[in-house]
Order: sequence, then C-alpha cells, then structure tokens
Amino acid sequence: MDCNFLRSPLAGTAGVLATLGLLAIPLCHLTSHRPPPAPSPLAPPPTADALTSAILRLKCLAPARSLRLTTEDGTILLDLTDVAAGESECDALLPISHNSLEISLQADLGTSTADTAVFLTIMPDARDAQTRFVLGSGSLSQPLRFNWQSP
Amino acid sequence: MRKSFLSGVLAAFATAAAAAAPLQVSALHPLMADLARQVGGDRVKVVDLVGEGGNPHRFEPRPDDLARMQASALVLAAGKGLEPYLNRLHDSLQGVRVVEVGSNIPSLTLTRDGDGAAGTPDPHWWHGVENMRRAARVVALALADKDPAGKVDFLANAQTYGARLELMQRWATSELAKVPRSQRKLVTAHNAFAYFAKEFDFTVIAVAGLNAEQNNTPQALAQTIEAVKLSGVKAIFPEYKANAKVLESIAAASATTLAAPLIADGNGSGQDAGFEAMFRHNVQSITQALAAR
Repeated sequence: MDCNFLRSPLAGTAGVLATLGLLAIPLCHLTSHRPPPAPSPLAPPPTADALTSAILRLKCLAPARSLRLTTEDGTILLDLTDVAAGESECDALLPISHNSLEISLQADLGTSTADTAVFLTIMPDARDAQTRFVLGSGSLSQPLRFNWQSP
Repeated sequence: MRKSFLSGVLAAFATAAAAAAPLQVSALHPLMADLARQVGGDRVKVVDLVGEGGNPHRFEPRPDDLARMQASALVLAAGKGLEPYLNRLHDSLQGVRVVEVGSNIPSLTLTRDGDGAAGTPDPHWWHGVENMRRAARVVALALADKDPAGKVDFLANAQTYGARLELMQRWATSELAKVPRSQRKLVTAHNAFAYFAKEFDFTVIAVAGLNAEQNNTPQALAQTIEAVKLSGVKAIFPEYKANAKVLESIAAASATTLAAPLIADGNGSGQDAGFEAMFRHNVQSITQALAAR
C-alpha cells in the first residue's frame, strides 16, 4: 500500500470512523438503560375491510410467566413470555365486527396463590377506550368482550 | 501523520454532531408543541408557531411560519377541523408531513344550534386525559417515522408521560368527587369542555359556540341565562385571557358567582403553560367553585 495514502487525511478519517464504529456496538449495550422494547404483536392475516387499527394497553399487577391474546377465530394478537409487572402498549389490527370484539386472554401467573389482575385497554381508531380485566391466580383463561357505539 | 490524525478526529466529530442534530418539529397548537417536547425530549427541537399564550382558533400561518414549517421534518396539528387552513397547508408544504394528532381520537359532535357548527366534530379533544395519552403515542410514532433510531426513546417517553397523566387523572377524579351531582355543570365562555365533561361526568352549558369570539344574539343570551337559572349551578366560568363581560352579565342576571377563569385552548402562560398545568389549573378552579362546603 502506498505510504502517502496512509498519511492522507482520508485514511485518518477512515481509521477513526472504523474505530468509533467498532466501539459503538458494545458501548451502546453497556450504556443503554432503557427498558426492553414493547413486544411486537403478531398481526392477524389481512382480511379486506375487516380490520381496525388500535392501540392495546396491557397492565399486569404482578409478573406473568406467559400471556396470550387471541381473537375469536384463533388469531394470536400477542404472545408474551416472562412478562414484567407494569404497563406496555402496542399497535394491533383488530377484527371489530358490528361494533363488537371478543378477545381471549390466557395468562400463566405462576405458582403464587395470591390473586392478581391483568388489565387490557383497547383503543381503536375513532372509538372510545375500553378496559376489561381478569382477576385470579395460577393459570387463567377468560374471554373479554368489548362493545362500542357506531363511530 | 499527526495532521492527518487530527483532521480525521475533527471530521469524525463533525459527522457525529450532524447525525445527532435534533429533529425540527413545528406545531400549530401550544399543546401539540407540549406533546412534541414531552415525547421527543432532546431528540427534537420544537417550533411552537402559535406561541405560549397564543390562541389556536385565531392563528393563521404567515409566510415566515410557512418557511419554518418547510424547514421542519414534521408539522403537528390538533386536527378535527380546528385548523381550517390545513388543506392549503398540505398543498403548500413540499415533502413535509402534516400530522393531525387528533384525527383517530373518538370525536364528540357539536350539538349547539345557531353557530353553524352543529353536527361537526368538536375539536377540543385535548381536554380528555385519556385522549392526551393516545395522542402521545401518535406523536411518538410520527417522530419515529422521521427518526427511526429514536423510536425506543420516543415510545418510552410517551409511556412515562402517560403514567404521569394517569396519576393526574386519578387526582382529578378524587378532587372532582368533592363536587356534588347537583353542581356538576360547567357554564363556560365557549363550547370547549365537552371532552372533559364526558371523562369526569359533568354537563356543559356553553355561552358561546365553538369559538369565544362568536357573537351571541340577545335571544341566545336570554336562553343561556334561563338555562343557568334552571340548572341551579352556583358558579360560572369565564375564560383565561378573554373578555368576561358577557359572563359577568349572565352571572348578575342568574345570581351566580363568577369563578376563576378556565384555560380552554392550551393558551396558558408561564406556570399555566402546557397540558398538565392547564389541566390542574382547570380542575382546581372547578373544584374551588363548585365543591360542597
């Protein structure tokens, strides 16, 4: 390689950028203290004119080993494991039909016998937010029904 | 060799500085500017075109506002018809996305007759705390669309802000519980509080229609005075920074008290600027005026 090239500003810049780039990857992981990103929901298969965009807000009063939301036709909206206590939001496409929606919530709340609650708030575009909850311990499975007035 | 190394370091810093430059976001409403700051944090530079204390009902972009919007990555509007110039704005701005933050928030419909707005969406959606939580996510995703590297930060900020709003909502519910059912009526200067009323179980008797500047006919005023008397409410609410003469007349005619003004359009100044300050101010004014003693 030509020594003049090595002495050029371009080579210097490239060397510094390469070094910074290599350092950035571990530094990013070390310095980031953000909570883990909200899980991406599993989108239902598209059906013409049948899906409404919505925000889902999940609030767990205690950690859950697993948590799953499914629609009436069995489409999985959300499938989580090792769910921390607290609140998270995600976007979803929901099959709201005749202003109604049924979502099944299945949760494994672990071995504790103390009752706890999981709240699900659904905020479809142009429709009011509605919240339903399940209360219990251990393994839970409950249908949650939502109804809206016509937007 | 030393010279080339120094040049390289300087060039690297210049590149890094350019990459970290905040996203410029223009806002057509003081509360949209507030949302952008809360959600965007250090990653955004917010240009509030209406300005602190400004009235978004009366704002119309001037050429220098258009220039600032053209230089922005995003323009945030409240939507729901509040900004009648938005169609022209879409046409004027090249390559700048205009986000109507309130467009997917469920609308209440104006019902007041006589002001030409009956049947149209009520644009004052920002008075609902839950609406503002939804709006925070809308703004976060809009910012992330322009700054994908910031998506985690924007969504985390929106969530933090939402948690704060939830606490404030609980505080408001507790405070407003001091107002007895018979007094849960808001007689206000203009028809801006329907979303608040719905969320906190009040009814609204508005003196003016959609806009505080709309004139009232003598017949309409007489009807309002009669409605206030029939309601049995003990206090009515003028509006922050607005002429209270009409409400003073109504208060005198209906033997009610003129309470502390409410902030209707996010146009508070100083310690009353921004959504949280506006909301706390309004809840405290309402509770002080209408709570059982």
